[in-house]
Amino acid sequence: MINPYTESILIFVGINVILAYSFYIPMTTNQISGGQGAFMGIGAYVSAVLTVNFHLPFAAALAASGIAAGLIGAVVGFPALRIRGLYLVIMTLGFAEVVRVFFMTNEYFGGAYGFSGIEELTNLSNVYVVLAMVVFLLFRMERSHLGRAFQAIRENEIAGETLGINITRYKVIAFALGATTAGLGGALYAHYALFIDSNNFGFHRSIEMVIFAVFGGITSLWGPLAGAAILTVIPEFLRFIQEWRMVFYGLMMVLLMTFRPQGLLTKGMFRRSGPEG
Amino acid sequence: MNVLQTAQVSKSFGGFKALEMIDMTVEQGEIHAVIGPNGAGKTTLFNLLSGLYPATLGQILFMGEDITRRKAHQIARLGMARTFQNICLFPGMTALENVAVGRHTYSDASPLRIFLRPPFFKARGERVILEKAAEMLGLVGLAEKKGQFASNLPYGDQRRLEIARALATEPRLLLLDEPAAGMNPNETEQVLELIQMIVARGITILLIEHDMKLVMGIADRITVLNFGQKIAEGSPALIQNDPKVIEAYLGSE
Repeated sequence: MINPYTESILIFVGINVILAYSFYIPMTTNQISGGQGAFMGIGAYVSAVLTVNFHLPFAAALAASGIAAGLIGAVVGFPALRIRGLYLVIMTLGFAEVVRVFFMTNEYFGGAYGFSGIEELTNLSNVYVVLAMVVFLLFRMERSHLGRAFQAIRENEIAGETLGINITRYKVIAFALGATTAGLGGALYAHYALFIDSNNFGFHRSIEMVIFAVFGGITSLWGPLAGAAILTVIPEFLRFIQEWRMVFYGLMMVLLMTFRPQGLLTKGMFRRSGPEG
Repeated sequence: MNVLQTAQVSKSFGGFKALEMIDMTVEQGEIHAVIGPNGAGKTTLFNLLSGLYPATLGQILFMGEDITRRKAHQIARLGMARTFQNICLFPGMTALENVAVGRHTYSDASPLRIFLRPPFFKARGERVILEKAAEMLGLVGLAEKKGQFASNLPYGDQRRLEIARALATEPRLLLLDEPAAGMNPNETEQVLELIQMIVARGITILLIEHDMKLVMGIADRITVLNFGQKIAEGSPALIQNDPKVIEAYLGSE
């Protein structure tokens, strides 16, 4: 068996990759969300309430948290349609703050004391099953007309529209799918951390997901996976430099963005030319 | 039968009247050109027809159907396709993928079928899309470049790729916004041949062209715009000798 320390790192790698994808998915349609932490929080709280208060099996709680986050994501996705770029970042950031304060003040969810007493139901296998599902779905999507529609929206929305792509529909789908993914990540996180409070899902968390995805590269399906995995594991290897750890971490980001702003991996890196018919 | 008919179509941006009371008809199977000096409102007209801008006033009928309030993606589904004056390709896609986006509305794959299909099987619908896309690339003479990223193609190829992408939607009416802009005489000649081939396939063409000489040789009918108004319409011979057109192009004495 692998030792508990390695296991916990691997579990966090899995959860962080899922979270990185939650930022990546809306990004494929050019929607930059600065509030994915909120959807993660919704998933975490919903699943925790379901397993602790309602004694539901973890699988059911997991599904419910994904659905809950996805539905709220679809609702947020509609106003988000009219907003672009930096403005969307601010809008989603504001939304995330509303969600955070809601969980902080709502007694049912533990309020400022947080929500405790969660059972440890997350393990290596269920994290990687969820991750494999997310990757599989994304992989399939990218190689279908759906993925092409997403990319068309990202690269030239107007041209896409004149080719019959319903921009509204696909943008909302992408936003909701991203929220669902964040919700799943949140549920897995809650049942591993065993204690959650609203500050776990604030601005810092949202930005962390952005960094994972951008560091790995947001034009490639494998980018967020590489980014989240590397940025989760590297601090562990840097424990020997102690307080300089985060300095090194930050420096690494500065260097990568300076010399390779497109991220570690880019689309088409692993193939010589495009798809062959 | 009229493919396209506009009645008193107008567009204002704030106080600026970009188009005023445009009545025009495009007939089945013709090459209809829209010409006019810079800023005459030609591209604005295209943006109204394809649903990118809402008309301020007036009505647009396409294949007998009122499309005035329709969205761009709905109009595309009805059979209108277009190209852009400033080329609007998807730069991060290959030539083939660009054209495949044009087949978007023909995909029969529901999201569920995309996800639940067994591994290592390429969906039949997807295969058909890529085959058709390759065929369209061949039509415009880009078969050999299907694997190249659109952004890496030379300018003339990019223009032709955009036409292939529009053709992939199987339009009844194709709007071409200055397809020969920035091309050398040799490339222009190729584009003219391509346009003639498209018409031979039964597709009606509405064409914006800046260069009057170029249009004279190819258009069946010409509509002339100047300062947002239609100043003339008719056969090339008629347009060529119209005093108002000559004035618009050369200025009055």
